[in-house]
Amino acid sequence: MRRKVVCDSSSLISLSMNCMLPLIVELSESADFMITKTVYDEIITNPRRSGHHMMGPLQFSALIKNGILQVEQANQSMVSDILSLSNRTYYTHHAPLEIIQRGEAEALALASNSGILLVDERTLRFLIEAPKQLRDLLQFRTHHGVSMDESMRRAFQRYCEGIKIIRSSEIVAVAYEKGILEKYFLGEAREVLATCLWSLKSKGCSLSTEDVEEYLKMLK
Amino acid sequence: MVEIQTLIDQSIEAVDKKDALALRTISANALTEAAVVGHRELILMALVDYALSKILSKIHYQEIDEKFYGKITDEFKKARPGPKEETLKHLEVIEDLVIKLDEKEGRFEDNVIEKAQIKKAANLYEKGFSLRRASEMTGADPVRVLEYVGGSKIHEFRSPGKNAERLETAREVFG
Repeated sequence: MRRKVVCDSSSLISLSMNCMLPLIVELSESADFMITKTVYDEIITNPRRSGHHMMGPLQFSALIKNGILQVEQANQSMVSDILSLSNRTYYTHHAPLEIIQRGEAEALALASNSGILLVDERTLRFLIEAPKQLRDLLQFRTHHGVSMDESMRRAFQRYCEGIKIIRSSEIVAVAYEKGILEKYFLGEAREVLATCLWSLKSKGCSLSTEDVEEYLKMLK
Repeated sequence: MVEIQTLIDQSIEAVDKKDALALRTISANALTEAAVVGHRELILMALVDYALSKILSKIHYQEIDEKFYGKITDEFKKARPGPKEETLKHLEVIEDLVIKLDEKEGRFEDNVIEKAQIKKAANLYEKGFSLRRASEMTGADPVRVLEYVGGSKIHEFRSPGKNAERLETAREVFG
């Protein structure tokens, strides 16, 4: 069965800045890549308006026109619920910390019911997978006591059930294993893999040095 | 909790003394407070103080007219008593003064406020806010924030033990 992969703009931007969007084209033979309207605006409308990163809209528009990326509307009542719950989970001085925005909530709503979320930025990933660690991070970095509302967290987690998260690094890893990388990047295979992973890291994919080294050990 | 008036007083003193490091510290304190309470004037304070610290620390800005700093401290003084709308209005005047100076004297296409927005958005992201939320709060371009973050050590703070699981998921999906 073909799986649905909901893409966040952070991953698409990391891949685009590293000339790796052809990997998405290749992998679209096995899965459906989807984006929300907000992500569409972030990767196409806004860069066109601001004049920065103008190559991005040209590349992404082609992917959409060719059916590689599909634009889907998320369930708006689910989006509102997710937004309200996530932004009332962490508190300082009894005031909630608004940590995510509509774009993240839409991606999550679209991926709910066992979808795959492709996201390179860290916060949404932590919120879904490691909410206590996110509280520790907020506390450590804001120098304020941060508490977590357990009932909000549990209600939020219901929307995350079955969702699996991958990053652009996993796209590269699978492309390496399937022999796709070598079609687009010439060089000794292990060196190409390492270069691709380090490049993703340097363009903002939330990979630590340890993550990259672990990948290089895991992939034969 | 740090009051905006305290931050403004500290900023006036730092500008008078041409103390770039003090302005950086005030900017960081304003941002930390803004992260918690989300007030626009604190964000603006963080941005203008950071931009002013950059202006004070660059050699090619050393020759700029002293009147510039006089105008800045005047606007800080007008911003101090409030109310909030007045504070915001005068901080925005400072933002405009900085942008105009940078248009005239700057060496880069981007102005120093845009650089401050990227830097401060990356700081908010580092604190645990999402990339979108951090960009929205500061007005930064999220693409440029992502690039900035990539060149930093922000992602060295990791969640443990998920790489093998993620790889397995990717193999299942695309296998």
